[in-house]
Amino acid sequence: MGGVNFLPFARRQDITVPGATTSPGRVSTRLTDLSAGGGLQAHINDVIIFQGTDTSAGNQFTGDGGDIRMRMAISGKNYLTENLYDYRVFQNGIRPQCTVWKWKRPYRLYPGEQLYVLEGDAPVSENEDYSILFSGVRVVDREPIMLHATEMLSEAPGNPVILSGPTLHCPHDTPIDLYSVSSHVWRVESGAGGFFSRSIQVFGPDDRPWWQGRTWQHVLDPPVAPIILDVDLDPTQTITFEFENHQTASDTLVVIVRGTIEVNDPRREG
Amino acid sequence: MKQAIQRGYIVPRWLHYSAALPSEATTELPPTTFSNTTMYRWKLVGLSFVGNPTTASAPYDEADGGLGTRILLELGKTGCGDMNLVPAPLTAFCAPPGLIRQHMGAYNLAYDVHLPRPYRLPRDSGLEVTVRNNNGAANLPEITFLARGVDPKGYPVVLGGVVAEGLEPGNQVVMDSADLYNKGKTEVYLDRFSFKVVDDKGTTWAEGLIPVSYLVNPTTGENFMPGPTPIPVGNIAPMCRVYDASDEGPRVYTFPPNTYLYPRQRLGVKLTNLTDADQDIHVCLFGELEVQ
Repeated sequence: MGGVNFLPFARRQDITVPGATTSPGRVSTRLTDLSAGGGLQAHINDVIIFQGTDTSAGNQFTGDGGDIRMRMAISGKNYLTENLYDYRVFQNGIRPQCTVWKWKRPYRLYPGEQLYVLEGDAPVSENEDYSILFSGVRVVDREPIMLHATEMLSEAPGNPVILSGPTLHCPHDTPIDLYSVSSHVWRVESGAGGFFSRSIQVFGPDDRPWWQGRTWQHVLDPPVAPIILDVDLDPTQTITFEFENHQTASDTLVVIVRGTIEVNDPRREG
Repeated sequence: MKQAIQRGYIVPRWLHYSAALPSEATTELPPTTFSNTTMYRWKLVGLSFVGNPTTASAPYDEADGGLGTRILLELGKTGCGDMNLVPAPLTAFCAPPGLIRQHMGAYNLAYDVHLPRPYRLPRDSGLEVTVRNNNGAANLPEITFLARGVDPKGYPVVLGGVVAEGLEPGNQVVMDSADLYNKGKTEVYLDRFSFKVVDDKGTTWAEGLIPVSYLVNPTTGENFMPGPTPIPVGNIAPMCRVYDASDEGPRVYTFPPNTYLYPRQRLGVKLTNLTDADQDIHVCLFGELEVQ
């Protein structure tokens, strides 16, 4: 009987809320839907909610807020509030210029293993070069370790690109613990219209994707500040969001839940 | 009350003063402005400064909270003398603002204040939230307030209030309180207040920040904001900026660790306006009252 490893995961759902009514659209996120399977317990780090649609990689954001209200319930308990409030008020994290997704519990990478990063589209110009950085420590002596990869126009624009190679390998003959991932598209500005987010998927050494399905924008570099939850859940528990749209037009929301899930790791001592 | 018989607890406290600074003159705030009139010691955290954009004119930039660059500050505590012997500009005194970038419009974020130590709200107690529209001309749309924290097991807690119909100029209301009470079976620990005007897509801070003023107080125990006048959001949450225009306000001076204002002690504030135009300023002292 070994111990556990903490696999980063994200669940994403796009939801359209009808306009001109108070009838709520509803989205429910179930951790048991994880493609990883075999999860023991999950730690939910944060939730990211924003208006807009899932545009192709490299598209810019011009969206702004409207009258969308929400409430949420965690782990099958009551809603945190009875009324619904402007969803943006719930944001309590920060969104610096270069985003970092930190994990409360580390993901362990063993000697000989490596990560793969899949970009949905290659950059169309050198202005959109993409970098990704995993930060952690060497388990044996807590010395800092960084795994880094950059994509610079090596493929024709629009082609998927795999980032792999020695820089994403465990660099030692002892395991490393990764605590965060950050990413950066070269042309990043602070205003609306200057934002680029690439479609990304990360694969662990066993080819298991960190989030379900295809490559996704905004999981690593969300355009808004996150709503920090910091709760532990069983895989059977849910997070429920309820939205109301007070505008005349319908609107699409993107909801992303991020965290880590415990998976069995026979190499680790319990 | 369980809270009362506990050894001690922390009450966040804001005291606010609005002053008109005449041009090329030094103004000392009245001695009673920032005095500790309680019987507990008050750990000082910050002193924030916000201008009044509705009256600001050049060279003050309305987008920046309407605060000019050429304002000098002197601080002192009674019994201790001056903190600074030479008047210093606010920009030198104050920390760089905590800029928060996001790409879905610069004004989409709530203004947050994070309490250094959580406030313990007993069960069946709640918050009373008053909000005022200080803008002389414009209506404010829906206004929202959230208080967040955790229960003793670490489960998230949210208290919320809203003025769904918005506010006309100069109006002041108490928020709908359905969600402002702790209806759980245990106490909760609040550590963050969030303030938001629902649709502030405007091009200046004036539309989102300064005209909204709040009074947030618990329904039991010592008040957070004992003053009679609601405090501008920029004063309550001065470190939360989402816009990086040329900057002077809001600004906050952060006190050194373990700076206390003891009962009957006061903080003296002297402001010198070096420009040739009068200027309004909102000053707010924030700290933690250590109730025994």
